[in-house]
Amino acid sequence: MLNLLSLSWLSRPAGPTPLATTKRGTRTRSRQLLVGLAISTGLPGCHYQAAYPEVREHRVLFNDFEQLDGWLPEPSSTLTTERAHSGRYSVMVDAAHPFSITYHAKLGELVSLRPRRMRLSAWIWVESSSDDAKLVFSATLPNDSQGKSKAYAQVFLVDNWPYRRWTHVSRDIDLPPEVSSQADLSIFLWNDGAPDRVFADDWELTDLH
Amino acid sequence: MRFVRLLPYQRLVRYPYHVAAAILFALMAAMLYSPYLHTMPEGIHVWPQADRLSLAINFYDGGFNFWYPRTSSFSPGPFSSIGGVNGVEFPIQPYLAALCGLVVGRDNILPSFRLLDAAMAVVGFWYLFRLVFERTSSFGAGLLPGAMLLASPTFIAYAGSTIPDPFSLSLTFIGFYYWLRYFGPRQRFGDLPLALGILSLAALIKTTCVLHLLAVAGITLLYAYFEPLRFTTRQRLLLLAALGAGLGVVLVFYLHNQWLNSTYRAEQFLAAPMPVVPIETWHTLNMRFFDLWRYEYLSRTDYGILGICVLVSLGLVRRSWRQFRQLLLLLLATLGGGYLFYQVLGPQISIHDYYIICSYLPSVLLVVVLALALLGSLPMLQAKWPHHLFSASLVVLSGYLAHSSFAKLAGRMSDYYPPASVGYTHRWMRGGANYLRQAGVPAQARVILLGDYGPNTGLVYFDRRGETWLNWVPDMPIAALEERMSADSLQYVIMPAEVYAQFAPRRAELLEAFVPVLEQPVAVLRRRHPERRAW
Repeated sequence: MLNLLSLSWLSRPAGPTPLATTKRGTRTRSRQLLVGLAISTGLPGCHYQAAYPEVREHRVLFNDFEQLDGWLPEPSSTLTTERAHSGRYSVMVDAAHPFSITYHAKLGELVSLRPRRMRLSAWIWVESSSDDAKLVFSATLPNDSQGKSKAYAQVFLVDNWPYRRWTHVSRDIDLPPEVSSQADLSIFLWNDGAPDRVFADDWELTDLH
Repeated sequence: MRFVRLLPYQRLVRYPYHVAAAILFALMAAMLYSPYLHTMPEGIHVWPQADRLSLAINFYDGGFNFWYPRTSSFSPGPFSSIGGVNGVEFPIQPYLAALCGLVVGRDNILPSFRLLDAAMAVVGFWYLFRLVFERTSSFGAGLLPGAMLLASPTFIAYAGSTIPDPFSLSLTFIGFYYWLRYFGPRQRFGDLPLALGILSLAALIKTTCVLHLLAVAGITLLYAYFEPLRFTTRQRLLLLAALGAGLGVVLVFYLHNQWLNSTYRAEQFLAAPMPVVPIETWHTLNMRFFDLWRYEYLSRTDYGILGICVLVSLGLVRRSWRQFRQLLLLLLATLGGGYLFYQVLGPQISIHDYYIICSYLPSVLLVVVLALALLGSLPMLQAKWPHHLFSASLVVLSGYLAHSSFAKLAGRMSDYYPPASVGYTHRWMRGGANYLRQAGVPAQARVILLGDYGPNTGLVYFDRRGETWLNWVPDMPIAALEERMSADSLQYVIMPAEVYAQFAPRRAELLEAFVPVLEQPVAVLRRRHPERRAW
């Protein structure tokens, strides 16, 4: 039954199947093998093909900050080569620069279907547990006075250890059903009083559908 | 003593009553269910039937990923799910039905599903027969428990359907049989882990049955404690391993379902307790029992038989303690399980008649089995002619009960079945898939349904994936409809003709956004500008 439960072999062309290649000695097992053969040789003849794909995460945004330097109107003080998880650049915040460069976009420019659950992730470098910096996700509609379409979430960086090395952090963000394609989406790193410098690299935003 | 392995035909000769009972039950099920094999989910509680059928269809359409079961509905809520993925009790029936679809074609997934469930019901009847016959040697007594189930409208309506409860109940009886057989003359230890394994499977398929697994395990452990010489150390370890594995698998699958529901924001299958509200729950249960469910749970004749069996069991309780102790203990344990079930899911019982199948029917059947075993053991009924008379009268009674099941199932499957049928909302959907095919709506088209409240019912009837707008009301702006369709890339809207008629005052506005594809007997409209982002 376990073989049947993982039917990745269903779409194989006719030929030896996992059932057929396993060693079975007893008479009972031979009988099972015959049944298995009958089923498995019959199935490829059905030309089975799934009608729609599996639900999975689709990448909406990824930035390793390698290409940003020349594109910014002026060199950003939070873009640094001091540390990097990949390539040369990462983003840094400290007491003098509480907010990093911010990613802005209309939600509708990133996705065609209304997202319900997104996942924001990044690689971060935190010095100690007192560096309570956050990676912030915000989606707001300018004229939404009641804030129905608002989605706001923080990824708490100090909740992931070990410190003083690159660590992967992520958070699932449930968007309200009222969120609009016109919502302004912004993602940034916020120092929030952290005494040490905090670094982040390889930001990724995915949509589950 | 050495047991000789019998060839199949030798078994037929050696166990004629077993074979006769199997043939009788199989014939009965064939006659009872064959008219409805191709019938879409019908009768009371079409909603959960459609939910389970949609699992099978989406296993087939979506690539047979057993660990990520999907339904046809990916609504943002209520009863939401991202991509239709849902946590649901071990969906082995829909999976097998979908597999059958590979052999017999996608259009025959539903008949396969119904056939599979009906076959399992027959197996359940047969094991009930064995439970009684092997204690009484009375053919008629052996038939009676199965016949009582056949006369239960609730049981027969769902046994040939897609709901997992009857399937799991049958597995429970099989588990009970092997557990009780261990305490019989042969005392074959292998029966115990076998029983635990089968009961674990039953508990996987319907969580309610974990109560029976715990009942059997609890009594076995008591035996191990009070009779230290009963099991060797190796056997004790084996038993604990079997029990641990069974409960472990149930727990792991439960946690997997919780993870699926959390990850995919899924809420189409109940996966949390709904504890009783003292006094109110009991009052509601009483009211619904008397005005709606009493003669759905069991027939009048069933209640009469049950009453007699209760009296016999009480009257002969000392004898049952001496002769059928394990059966009596099992009955008491399942009654305790029934009380626990009421505490955990009480408010649901008055709404869903099928909730009693795995919670209370085992106790009912065990009372009957115990009473029949007690009667069969009476010296006065062991003489040749009284025994034959007893058996023959029970054959007649079983025949009557079985015969009554045809009318009962026909009633459950019909449109006019008051008072329950007053609430039927699926009538307009019949033939939906054909209407869409004739109208040229592509098989892959994503749709939204208005005018129903079951997340998958309409989608199954119209054989499309999409959403049912459960809280849609007629005066909602048309722009809201377009917005929702745009957000999930839905191309067609489907509604009953009477709902479509409510759009008449706003027809011009409607036609700006939609093109009618079909207006009678159901309305199907296509988005005029699918490229327009309206969300």
